[in-house]
Amino acid sequence: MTRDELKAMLADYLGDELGGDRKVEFEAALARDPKFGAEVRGLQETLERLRTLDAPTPMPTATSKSARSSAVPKLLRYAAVLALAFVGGYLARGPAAELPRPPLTGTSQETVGASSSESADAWRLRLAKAYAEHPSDSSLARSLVALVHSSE
Amino acid sequence: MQTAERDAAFEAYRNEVYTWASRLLGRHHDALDVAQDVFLRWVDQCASAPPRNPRAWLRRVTIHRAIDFRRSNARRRTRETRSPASPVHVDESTVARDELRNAIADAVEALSEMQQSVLFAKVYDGLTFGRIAAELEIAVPTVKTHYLRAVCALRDRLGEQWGP
Repeated sequence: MTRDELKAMLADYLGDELGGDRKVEFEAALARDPKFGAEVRGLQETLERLRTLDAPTPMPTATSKSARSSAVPKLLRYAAVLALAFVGGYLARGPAAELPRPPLTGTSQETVGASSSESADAWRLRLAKAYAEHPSDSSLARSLVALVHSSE
Repeated sequence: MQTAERDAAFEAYRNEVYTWASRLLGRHHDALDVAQDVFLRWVDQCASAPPRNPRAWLRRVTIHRAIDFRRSNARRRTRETRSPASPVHVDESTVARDELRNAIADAVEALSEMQQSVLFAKVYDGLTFGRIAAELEIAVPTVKTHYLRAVCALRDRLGEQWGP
């Protein structure tokens, strides 16, 4: 097996998609070509390093005291953003104007393509509020879904 | 894209978005911040030009936003770490892990968007080259080329810091 043939199989080998006889053949060829073998080992080590960044538990729930306390500044930040957004919207629209309608009130038949910048802003406000209410656990996701469904 | 489809994509990929962000950021609240930002963009994108492949779009934007997030917070984190008023006590393994994560994130940042997407899809999502090609709407040999170039680039960059 030539060096070019080995290179053509390299992606499959590193991607663990070289099966059966081809893998055996490839590894035997690597053994006969120490320089290329060393290069391949270097690439494998790189991939191993990448894999050491193990995935966290999906959307983990932070219940420790430190996690709760670290969430407080974030809560205040989002509350402040929420308050500013409401005040800004109130001033811009005038006191007699109606509050923006919830953006996601359409039925499942309705497309989002019709949503305006107003509804996008309102969606943001609701997301910020949901996030402020549940800053340290997976409720971000659950709140979003609940908000969307409650308005439909 | 209909509302139901948009929300279904959110439900289907929220954990993946969080996980992609966590790989690069390592901190729960940072990853949640990025996840929130990504889904806000997702809603905007669905309203203007719905992506044909939600997962590919979400992966690409999440990596991009996580890199931006790291960049914008780098200075602040350095200040916090050096501040004598708020000493941080962490064990050596945590420091080493953070250093490796930072080195990998720096190296990922230097890749092209396509290389980043292919790398994450292959290494972290465990997709086959064929599946990645279908998601990204490119040919399988092109995916393999991006993958090899990404791994070689990472080896070169990480090798400088962590040895061959």
